[in-house]
Amino acid sequence: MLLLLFQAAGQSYGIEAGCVVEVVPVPRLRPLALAPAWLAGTFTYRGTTIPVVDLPALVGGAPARPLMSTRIAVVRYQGEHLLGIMADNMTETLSCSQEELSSPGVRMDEAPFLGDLLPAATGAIQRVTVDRLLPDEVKERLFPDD
Amino acid sequence: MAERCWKTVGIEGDGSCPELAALAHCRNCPEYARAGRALLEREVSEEQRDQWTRAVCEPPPEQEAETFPVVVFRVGEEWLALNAHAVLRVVEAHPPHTVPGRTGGAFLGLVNVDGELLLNWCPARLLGLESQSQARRLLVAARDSERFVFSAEEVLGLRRVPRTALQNPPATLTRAPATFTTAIFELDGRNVALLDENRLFDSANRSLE
Repeated sequence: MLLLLFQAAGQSYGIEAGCVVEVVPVPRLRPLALAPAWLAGTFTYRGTTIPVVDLPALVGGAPARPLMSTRIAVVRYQGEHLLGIMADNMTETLSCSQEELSSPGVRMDEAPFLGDLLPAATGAIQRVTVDRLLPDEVKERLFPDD
Repeated sequence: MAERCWKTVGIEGDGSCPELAALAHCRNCPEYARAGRALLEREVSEEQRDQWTRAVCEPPPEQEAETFPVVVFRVGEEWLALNAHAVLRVVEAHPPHTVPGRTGGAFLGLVNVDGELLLNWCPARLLGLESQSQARRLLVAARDSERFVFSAEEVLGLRRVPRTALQNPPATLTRAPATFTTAIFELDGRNVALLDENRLFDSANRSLE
């Protein structure tokens, strides 16, 4: 499988490239009033307004930095919705096999999207499962049609 | 490794870097890649942000129409094309060795192409066009293990043609090439007939019977 790598709060993460529609530079985002800090806002992607998750903020760190290397992965969330994932250093991909991944040992109920670890020379890369990214109450508000 | 080492010991410097022999070029070196990525560690200007906002808002650029490669050549007054996968190579023309009792009509004789004796045809006669003047190039074409050499006066070379540019040959076309022509297309103001290579090869084989 191919992982799209990025960084959040100093740690490396990866999402499966199969669910990524496009990696785009960060445009001007329209903030969502009264939303949690990790919901960075919305932008118009190819004619559709889509929400953007600030992944570094979601995992408890500082928000994504306003640098050229910070990008948004437009992903297919739960099969039908488009969602933007913004993170730092989204500049590389890595090919790995399922066998190379190992369980992190600890499961955080607050972060059900964090998955298995891939050992790497620069520190382990943790897999992020896109479909589990949003808590139910946020998902219901962002995609009320379901 | 020193900063901007490619300028001092790498390809833009004296080439003394011990890694260089194995990597052949600094662009294969992780140090070079790291320096390249560092260029992205910059703040984004307001102007750039506006440009990106407009760019991601627009629908994606349309995919270019599907194209396929052809070899375009001239025989007499006619511009013809063969599917590129049927053409092996194009070589300088030289006079064929005539074969007594066989030569005449469309079959011109044997030509030596890199030590291999191949059969040479005049496509104009196969197609029933006016006889050509002077062949300057030979098109070596292939179907499986069969080889066919066709004389041409001029070869434009490899061109990519969008499938959407193909038009049906006019039904009123009474000349013989119509039966060999699968489609016509325009290329730089010329009308080019795309030939059905199988019919052309069959007709070449028949001319020997």
